[in-house]
Amino acid sequence: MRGARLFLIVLLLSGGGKCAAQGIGIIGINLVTDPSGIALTGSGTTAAVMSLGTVQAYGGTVPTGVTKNLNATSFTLNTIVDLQVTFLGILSPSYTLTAQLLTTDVINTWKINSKTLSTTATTITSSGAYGTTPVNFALTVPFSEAAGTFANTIEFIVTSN
Amino acid sequence: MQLKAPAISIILLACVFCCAARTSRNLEVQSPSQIRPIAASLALSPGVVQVKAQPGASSTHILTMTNLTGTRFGFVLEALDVVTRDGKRVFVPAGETEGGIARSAVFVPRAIVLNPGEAGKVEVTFTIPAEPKVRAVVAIFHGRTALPGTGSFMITGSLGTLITYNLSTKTEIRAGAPTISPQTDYANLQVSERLENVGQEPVVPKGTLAILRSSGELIGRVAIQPNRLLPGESFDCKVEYPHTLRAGKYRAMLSIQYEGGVQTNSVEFQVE
Repeated sequence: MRGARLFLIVLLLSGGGKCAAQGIGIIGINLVTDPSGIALTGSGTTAAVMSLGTVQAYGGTVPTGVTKNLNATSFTLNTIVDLQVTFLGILSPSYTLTAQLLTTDVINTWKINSKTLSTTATTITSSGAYGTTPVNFALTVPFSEAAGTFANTIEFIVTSN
Repeated sequence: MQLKAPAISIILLACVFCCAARTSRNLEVQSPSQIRPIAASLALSPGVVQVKAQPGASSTHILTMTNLTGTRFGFVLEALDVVTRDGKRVFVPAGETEGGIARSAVFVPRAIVLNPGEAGKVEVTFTIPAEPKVRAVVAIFHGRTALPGTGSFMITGSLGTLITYNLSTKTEIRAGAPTISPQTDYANLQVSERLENVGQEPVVPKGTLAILRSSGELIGRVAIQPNRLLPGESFDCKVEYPHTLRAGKYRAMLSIQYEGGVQTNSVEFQVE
């Protein structure tokens, strides 16, 4: 018994296992179609699909809510998606939002709010305000790209500050 | 009996909140006025964990993810170190930062799948190294749900819990000189002050803006909301005084309270 007490005292003095934790709040997320953006399949969840259909540099049809801009050697598709982030609790005035591609793309350029994405997380904002925030999505496709089908996934990661 | 979706959501959120209370030690009492409505499809509890410990200690946390949608969702868990670069937070993969904590993460389980309306718990244990160089990690639930669609672009949302570590009492903030944005016909008076965490530990400064007449008489006060700052992180604290001031001389006093004490700065200004 005395040995056990001694062990506990030594443990506390050494700091091993001495720990106090306090959990705060609940964070929530939603992806929603923006009134002026592309219609999302799965709007109101956290796994949504943007169907851009068949687009091409010259001619073709872009979906409602998407704009196409022709550049010198490429064309860019732009649209808006709403991100809803909520926090239930206190001591978190804002959130950090990062974004990344899940598949490497060395041909096309993917941007969120003018920040180029890669397969490494890029910070979009480090002081996001809770509520609904429109995020601008841009995909630039070079004329040199061969016609075909391609797909990718953008992951938004939200953490409380 | 069949419950409609909003009713299910409310019940689930209540469950999530109860779980948060159960899994968090010393949970703070929350003022109803500070609770904002939540309309999320995924909810993670707790959003933040504050740990007080010493180097070498381990801490285990139970994180609860709730799926409030009608879709089955899968998640993969990952821990990242949070470091400050140029005054901003950056997430760094585990093992890339010397003295990092994320490399010690042990998730049980490492991945979960949640059916509609289901909540799942993940236990994560972190061990602080003997010479820690970071003071925060994030435990991220990466959304990995594939939806059908050819030639489509998918967007997936993921949530992370921020876990901060206070390992000593060496807390210190540096408050810059306050500046005034005068009131106009269209804007209220705004007082700004730059706060920088120059200590070794995370801090959550909060405080009060007091507006005094030149005679010293108190005219009004505004609470400054708490803002978490990791070591090296800075923040422009902007406080708006919501009332119109008559012409005259005034003093604005910003009193910032944090774990290491209180810092008070003041600035005189005149309203024409």
